[in-house]
Amino acid sequence: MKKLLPFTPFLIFIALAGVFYASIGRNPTLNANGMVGKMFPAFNLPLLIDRNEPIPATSINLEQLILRFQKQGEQRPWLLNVWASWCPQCYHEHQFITSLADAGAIVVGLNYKDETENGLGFLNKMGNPYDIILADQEGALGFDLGVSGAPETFLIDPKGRILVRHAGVIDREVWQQKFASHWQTVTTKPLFEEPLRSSAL
Amino acid sequence: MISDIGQMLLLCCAVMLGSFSIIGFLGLSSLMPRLGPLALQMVKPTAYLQCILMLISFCMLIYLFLSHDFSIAYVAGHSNSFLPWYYQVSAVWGGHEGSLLLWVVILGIWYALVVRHSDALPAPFVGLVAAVMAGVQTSFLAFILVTSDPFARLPLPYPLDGQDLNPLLQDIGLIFHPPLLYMGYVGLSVAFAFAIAGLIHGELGQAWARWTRPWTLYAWAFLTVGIALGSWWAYYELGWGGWWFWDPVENASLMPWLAATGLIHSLAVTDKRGLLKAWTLFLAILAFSLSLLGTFLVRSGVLTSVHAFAADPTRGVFILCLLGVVIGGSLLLFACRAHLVSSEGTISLVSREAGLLVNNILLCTATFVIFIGTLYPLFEELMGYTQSSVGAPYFNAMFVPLAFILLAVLAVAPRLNWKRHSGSLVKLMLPGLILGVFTGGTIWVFFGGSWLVPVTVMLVVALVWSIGMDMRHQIRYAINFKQGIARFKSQYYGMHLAHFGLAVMVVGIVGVSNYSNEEDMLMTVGQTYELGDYQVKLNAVNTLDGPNYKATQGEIEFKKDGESHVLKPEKRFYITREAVMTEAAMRAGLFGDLYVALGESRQQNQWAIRVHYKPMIRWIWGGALLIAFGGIWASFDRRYRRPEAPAISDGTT
Repeated sequence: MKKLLPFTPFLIFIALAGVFYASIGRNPTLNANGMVGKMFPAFNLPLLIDRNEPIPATSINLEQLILRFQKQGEQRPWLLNVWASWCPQCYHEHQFITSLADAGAIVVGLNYKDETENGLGFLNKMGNPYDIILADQEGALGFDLGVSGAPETFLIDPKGRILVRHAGVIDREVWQQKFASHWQTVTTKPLFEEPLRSSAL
Repeated sequence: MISDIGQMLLLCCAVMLGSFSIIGFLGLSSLMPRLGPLALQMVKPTAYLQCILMLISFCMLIYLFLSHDFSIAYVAGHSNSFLPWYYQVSAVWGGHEGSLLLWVVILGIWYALVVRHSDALPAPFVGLVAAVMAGVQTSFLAFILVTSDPFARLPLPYPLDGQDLNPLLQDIGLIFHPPLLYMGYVGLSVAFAFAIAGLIHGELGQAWARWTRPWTLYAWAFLTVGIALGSWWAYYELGWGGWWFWDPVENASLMPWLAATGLIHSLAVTDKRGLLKAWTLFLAILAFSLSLLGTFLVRSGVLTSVHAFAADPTRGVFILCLLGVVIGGSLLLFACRAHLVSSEGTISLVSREAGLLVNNILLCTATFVIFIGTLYPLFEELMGYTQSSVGAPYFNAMFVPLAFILLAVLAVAPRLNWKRHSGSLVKLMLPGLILGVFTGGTIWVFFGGSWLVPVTVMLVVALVWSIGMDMRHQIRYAINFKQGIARFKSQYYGMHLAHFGLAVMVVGIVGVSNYSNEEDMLMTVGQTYELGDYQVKLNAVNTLDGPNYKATQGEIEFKKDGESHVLKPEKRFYITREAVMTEAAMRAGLFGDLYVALGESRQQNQWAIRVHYKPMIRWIWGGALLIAFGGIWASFDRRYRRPEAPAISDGTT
């Protein structure tokens, strides 16, 4: 036994090397759906900006948010887009988020681990497609959602159950593959009328 | 042309060091002793030559940056003709390829210095140390040449201008942060090389630990300053007002620091008492392994972070092979040879070495905690669960109790004698403890805050009191005061200074985490606000042109008791990268920083302004500097330089 003890660090290293090897080049989006099917976690967060009210309420929680969508009329699913001004891909993704909003989807922004003025600067420059933006400076809600970084996008049904999660940049193709079918089971109507052309993006 | 020469120099170095390393390992171990004399002759010339070649190659990359050679992919990706010259120089290590080149250049310097200053050691031992360092150097050069060549050319047509350096990195902090950090990372390779050489050699006296100590202290001091500088940079450049984020990049640098801190202390036990030899060897390997992991963790695509250096999975396999050879190989060697290194003697429960052992256990636990927290997403994902980040709550919950125990042990252990301490511990510590409880309680009553405040203050006071008492005790036994001061070895001063630095740092952490203030205001030009004791006035908002950015600059006046000062926070738009950066302005003070960031203009002439008050935050970095300075001071101890040290036999002949 005493002779084997010095080998433990080596064996641990071999095991770790195996973990590293398995993780190299692995697409984190493949397995990143632990929250799917679960209820959206409770939160209470300050608002970065609220498009419908000039002076935003200081904070909002999950019940208020769901109530707000129900007040707005029909039962529709909503999207949560995790973004930040420090995230280069978010600039890239923003155009598609805008087209989602233009097509009539409710998009809630989660400004993730960002500074208020940097976040507002992002919106000033890129435009604001979000219905409402939660400011998650500490990454608390992000933690509960299992967010590993920005951007990430969730589709949530009117009752607050998470239907789809996508880590990484969302575009038309991703929407068609992962989101569109779930969207239609709730709304019966596709968000985008014309079918996806392979050269559309 | 220049770039081809630079590349050739790296290749020459790799070939030369690779062959020397093989000859050295074969000739100086028992495998092929007839190569021994050849290896010994090669030690000095190769060490000096590689250092010179590396430096020339590095200067060539700097030259390529300064001459705006955008035909080089790395230059085009990280520089721009409008970038000020000093950032062009620091852009050399602003990305993956260049920072790796910096890594090997620094290793080249350490390597040459070790060979230069080891004349007192037996030649075969120095030869083995050099062979280990040459081996590490060769693997890194191979990695650079195969996967990350900073001299690689772009295909025609060449871009007219570069893509500019990431604006986050255009900063004084980044000019110095990576070189200092790398001095630390790479410096730990010396202790590593000594450990491997010792294991191959098979016989380890206490002298081995003595030689390793000053080198480890230098590396550790550099690492301390490097991490502190990184934290300072994050504080003022990221504009979030925080100083530590438990971000994978930060954790990657903290792990080798903790391991190296453990190593310094266990080296003391091995040096003074000849105990814990195998453990010390293991820590030397561990500290350098964690440095390697720190260098690569964030670059391989295994883990990513907001610091956003290039993360490229295609390099991952190569990195893993490199780590496998260096870390796996040395751990295997350790496993096979550790039984040769025996320590005789026991550790009694109340003694200096017992305290140091507890310190080691705590520091290793802390390293382990950070390791698990940083790699947790990786394990979890592999098991098929969702990827979740382990954030500050986990680290704080795990780290704070460890820090408490560590502080408590730290107050006691340096006052204990080696071998066996006789005398009452209670009598030794009670006055300091009472003083601590009183101070902590008073502060809590007056300032409030969480229960952690009085507990930490109590421990800090007990620690500082203990340091003072120890010095007083030492002086009292001298003939007079002057002689008492002179009696102390620089190692003794260094130790107490570093411990005192830790106390200062902890005070800073307690202050800033419990009594920070943050206020958002909407102000029009000319308007005055009352904010605590201050009258805040927005004097003007101007626009100005920087070399490679356009900025909006606010002029905010703070008045308090008739005294006034103006802070000028900026919002910069970097043209080439189309990125907006917040340049916070701050007024640094010994007891607190005033930190102002300029927000957006909401309506006409109305500006969002965020004011932070960060009490004691400077103490954190000040404490870190004291810690590093203590390390340097301790390394000057004459005991480390005594020529009669050699106790390792020339076993090969």
